[in-house]
Amino acid sequence: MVLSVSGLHKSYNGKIAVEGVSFNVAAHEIVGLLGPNGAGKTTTISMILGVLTPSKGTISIDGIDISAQRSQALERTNFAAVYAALPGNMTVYENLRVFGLMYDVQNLSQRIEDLIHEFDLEPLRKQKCGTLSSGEQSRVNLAKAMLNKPRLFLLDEPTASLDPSIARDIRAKIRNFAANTMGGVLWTSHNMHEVEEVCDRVLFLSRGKILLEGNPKTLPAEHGKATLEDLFVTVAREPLTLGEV
Amino acid sequence: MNFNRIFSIVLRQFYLMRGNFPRFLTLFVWIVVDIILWGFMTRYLNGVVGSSYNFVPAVLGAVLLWDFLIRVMQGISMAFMEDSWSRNLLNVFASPISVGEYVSGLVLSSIVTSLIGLVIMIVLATAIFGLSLFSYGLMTIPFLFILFLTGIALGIFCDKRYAAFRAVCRMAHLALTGYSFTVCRCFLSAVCIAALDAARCAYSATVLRL
Repeated sequence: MVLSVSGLHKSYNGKIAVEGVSFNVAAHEIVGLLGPNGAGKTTTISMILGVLTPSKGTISIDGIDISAQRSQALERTNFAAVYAALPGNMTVYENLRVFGLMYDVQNLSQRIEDLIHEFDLEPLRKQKCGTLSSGEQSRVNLAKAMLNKPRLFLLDEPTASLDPSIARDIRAKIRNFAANTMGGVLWTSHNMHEVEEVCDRVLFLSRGKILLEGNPKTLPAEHGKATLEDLFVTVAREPLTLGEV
Repeated sequence: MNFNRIFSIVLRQFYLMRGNFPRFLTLFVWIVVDIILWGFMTRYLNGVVGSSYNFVPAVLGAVLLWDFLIRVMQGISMAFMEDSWSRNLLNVFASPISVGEYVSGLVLSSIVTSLIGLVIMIVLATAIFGLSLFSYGLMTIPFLFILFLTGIALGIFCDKRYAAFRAVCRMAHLALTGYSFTVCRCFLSAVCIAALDAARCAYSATVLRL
């Protein structure tokens, strides 16, 4: 397993944000973490990234317990999120170099050149990240997230605010990553069409708990809904009408 | 401790300086202004008092060491605030870098920037105003080291979030060092004002007598 999460809890001053969340992500698998705003998706991702400490539970990345060996576990992961843009006062190349060193990437110069070529960043190489468009920034974020060839790739709404053409390109790159490497992907999104197209499995999170789990193509029918979006709306508005997994 | 991760923090500061000329300028522009301002003040005081007392080692030396302390502290706190302002802390702490490595990177970049400032201040104060740090004796070296450690400690612990704590630290620093150059500087400022006032009175009396 690339990621194993077991009995994860997080509470803030008695208020429960995540309660008893357990799931796995296998190699080559893209898992969607879905749920309404405030369901606990970003909190879960933050705990997997080691930014938040869980109140209870364990997280293992590629078999390494993050609480015991944080640096070794995080060397095998990387992330891209719409709210975590790279510093705007450094150029694309400078950002890739700084983060490449931070992730202790071997043969860094060559890796940066490969990524600049792969994500079509050559014309933007010397441009400051703060001056890039949303689509360009997303490509740079993804390039940074691929620097260390992660085993676990975390994506928190990577295509939010992107036009359909760029979003399609990004989805294709992420699918390629899952297919051609030994990595797994944990993806959060509010775009149900995108989730249905990309994810092998989805987890519906509501009020800090996993309510449903399954194949995004068959899950709506299993619960008497026409589309994944209908199922999402039901989870968001009437979670008690759905049986717990 | 991984050297590459520590170096990444230093490299980030270098890239920021290189990409922004005003940011590079602030490395030395205010300390140059401070040294020139207080340098001429000491010259004036030396002229008023005569050869009985040399203000250069006392006033200019105090200013130089005070600026060194501030540079060290700012080297750390500004580098940290830079990551906070650019919302980069999530990217940094979601990476394998440990807090120890991050702080080491900040300290290392602060050493470089404060040494640049110190060298510029010493060169200016020596070349223009004849200050010699050797006149303080060999104990200047450990004192500089203590100032450096104090600056690092203040820089690490006194960020924006701990503004109240910073005020307490500064007070404690003033109290603990006793004859601190800050106190010395305040005292000398008072002396300067008194001396200027005395000179003005003497001048008025002379003019009135004439």
